[in-house]
Amino acid sequence: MTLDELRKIRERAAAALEQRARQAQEPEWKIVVSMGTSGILYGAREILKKIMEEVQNLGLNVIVTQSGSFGLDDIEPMCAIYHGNEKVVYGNLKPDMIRELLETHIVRGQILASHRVVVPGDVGNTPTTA
Amino acid sequence: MYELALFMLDLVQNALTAGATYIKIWLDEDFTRNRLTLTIADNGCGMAPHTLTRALDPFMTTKTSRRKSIGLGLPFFRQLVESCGGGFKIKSRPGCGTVITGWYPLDNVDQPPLGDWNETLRALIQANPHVRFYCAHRRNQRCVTFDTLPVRRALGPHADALWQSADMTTWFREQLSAS
Repeated sequence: MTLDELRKIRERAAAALEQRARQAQEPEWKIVVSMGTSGILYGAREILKKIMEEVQNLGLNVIVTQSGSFGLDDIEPMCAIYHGNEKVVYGNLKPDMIRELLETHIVRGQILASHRVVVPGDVGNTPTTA
Repeated sequence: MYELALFMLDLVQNALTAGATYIKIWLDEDFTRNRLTLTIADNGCGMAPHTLTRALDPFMTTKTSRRKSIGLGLPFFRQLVESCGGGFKIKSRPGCGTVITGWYPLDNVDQPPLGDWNETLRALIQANPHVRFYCAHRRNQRCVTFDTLPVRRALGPHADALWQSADMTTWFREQLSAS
């Protein structure tokens, strides 16, 4: 077993972890990919993998996870980006636009209007201009 | 769905929605007995017999899918194995969890390709750091198992921060592709 390799990974990452601890006061970024049956059919697995990959490439401090269906099967694959309590939902995603999405939303703090989904009655979707 | 890996992903998502913290995924390709068996066991909330009947009925479940957190995944998987000349079994107990098993003959022309099995497992493992995954893949006499618990232990207090790092992606990929 190569658990020793894990210890090496742990040591190598020590510096990055310290930096992360300093950023701990900022609201947490989290991306949730809708992984229901229809989402999977429309390619949610590739979206999840691509988001994880691009988060690493851009060196972002973002948690990527999955959830059951968002209930909007016609615009799958979808994801929701949380920043603290703020939530923005994106739909009709394609793997090749994930980088643009992350750069726009997380790096520049803007909303990628072309793929934004406003769910009626979902107060978490209210855009925050602050 | 066109890959067995996607069916597995769908069933594991059900387990996650059921609040599972420990999910076992067994894939057994037994060419001597000409049988593929996929078993997914979780320690989620489980289902009462009444809910279980509904879970297998696509027409009953679609309407309540959001509330009940059960979609078409289970009926799809059942349809797949039965159309491949195999069988399907589900056992569930409220508070204990659920075990789903499906099998079909390996010489069947209707069977889907395995798909990107290891990458699907890796994505599941990395996207759910707090869930323990135990994966076993047996191909004839060779069996490869992977458990995420020792990994978490080896990473110690940094497990959460490191789990989705590029280093860990490489490491998981290597470990899983050993099969």
